[in-house]
Amino acid sequence: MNETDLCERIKDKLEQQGIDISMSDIKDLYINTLSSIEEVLKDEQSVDVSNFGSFWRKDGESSSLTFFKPAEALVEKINSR
Amino acid sequence: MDKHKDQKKLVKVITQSMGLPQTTVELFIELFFSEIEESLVNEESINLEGLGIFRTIKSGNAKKVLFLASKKGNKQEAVKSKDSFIGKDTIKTEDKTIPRPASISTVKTNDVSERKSIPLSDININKTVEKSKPISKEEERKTVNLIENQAEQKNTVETDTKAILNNKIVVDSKIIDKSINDKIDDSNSTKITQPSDLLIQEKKDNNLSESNIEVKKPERVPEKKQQKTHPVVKKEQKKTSGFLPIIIAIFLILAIAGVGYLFFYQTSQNNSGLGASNNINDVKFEQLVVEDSLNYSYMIIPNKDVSILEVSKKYYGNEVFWPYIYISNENSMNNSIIATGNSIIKIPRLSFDLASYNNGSFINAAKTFGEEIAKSKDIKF
Repeated sequence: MNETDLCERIKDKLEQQGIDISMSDIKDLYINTLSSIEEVLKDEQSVDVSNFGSFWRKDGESSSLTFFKPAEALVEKINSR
Repeated sequence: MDKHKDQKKLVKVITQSMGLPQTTVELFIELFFSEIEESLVNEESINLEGLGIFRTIKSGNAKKVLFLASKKGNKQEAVKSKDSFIGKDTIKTEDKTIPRPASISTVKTNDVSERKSIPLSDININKTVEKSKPISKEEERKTVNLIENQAEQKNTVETDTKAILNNKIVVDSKIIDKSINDKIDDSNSTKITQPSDLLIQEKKDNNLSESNIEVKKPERVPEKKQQKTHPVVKKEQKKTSGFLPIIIAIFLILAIAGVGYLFFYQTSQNNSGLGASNNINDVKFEQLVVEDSLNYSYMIIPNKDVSILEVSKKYYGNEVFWPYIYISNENSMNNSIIATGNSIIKIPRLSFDLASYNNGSFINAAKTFGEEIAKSKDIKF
């Protein structure tokens, strides 16, 4: 699944909940979430999403790498099925 | 850091930038991560450009989440990508430039035709989102396989570590048993059944040192032994070699001192005049006819300067009797014991016989007489 599929799914679910939003807006929302996550990571902080996991970043001399640690709830869900 | 705060922080930032209601943003974020979660649960991989790839992998009996972050290049590129991501219309909120949102319609419309559905081809996401190197499927498969293999290895290692530790402890226990049984009485000996007991006992027993527990020691003892022999030999060699220069230096000093002594002795004799005629045999004496034979036994003329001590020794057999020669030749002596060459020396006839020249009493008398003359005339020998 790629980001377009993700955005379509999110849009469908929002419409199911009565929120009509255009695809461009969803794309903007998607971009803004990623950019905000990146801003937090650049500030040498971690982003913790409840029941999902945490992101953090390590900067090297020429590049930086983002790490992810899944939450226990997520791992349990994955292993339960 | 509180988890909920971070999520709320994201919501706040996005609502401020987008201008959308907070509920929609919260819903979006929840759905965003829930969709990722569903895809992971369904063992699907999800590729998000700008963030990375999420995927589930099997490690033994359990499943794990794999996250492959999208590589980000140099920081300069990151800055450029941010600029490209920003676009023309930007809003500065809290020093964050975020693109201006397009028109938003939250009103429900039953008429489908009014809904503007923008085709995906028109949506330029890649320009706005930071460009990251897309990962091909082949590379993805390779990395996944590698990670799965590593995970399997880790699991096997994890399962085996306990066994290894137990084995290690068992091996160590054999060595420790010997040391312990030597020290602890049989009545008080505790049966070591489990490795944990060993560890506890090790901590209790203060006599045990780490050296007792270690099994292997480096095999460097013979080298050390060999080294021990060498320094001893070297020390002996050093000792002998250390004394040689000292000995040589002492010899040189003694030699120089001897040469100097001889030099100064000779110079002093030359100054005193004795050196010139030290060897009386070198001096030739011309005997004259003695007119006053009652008072003088000889009248001689030496060809060189000569000491009257030597003359006394020649004619009296002892140099002690030089005062008598001095007194009889006082006018020509000039307050010295050296008689000049080619001058007449009168050898007086002494009152006692020649046989008694070596008599101790006469010698002592002559000595005192010589000392008195030397003092009175200030004669220097």
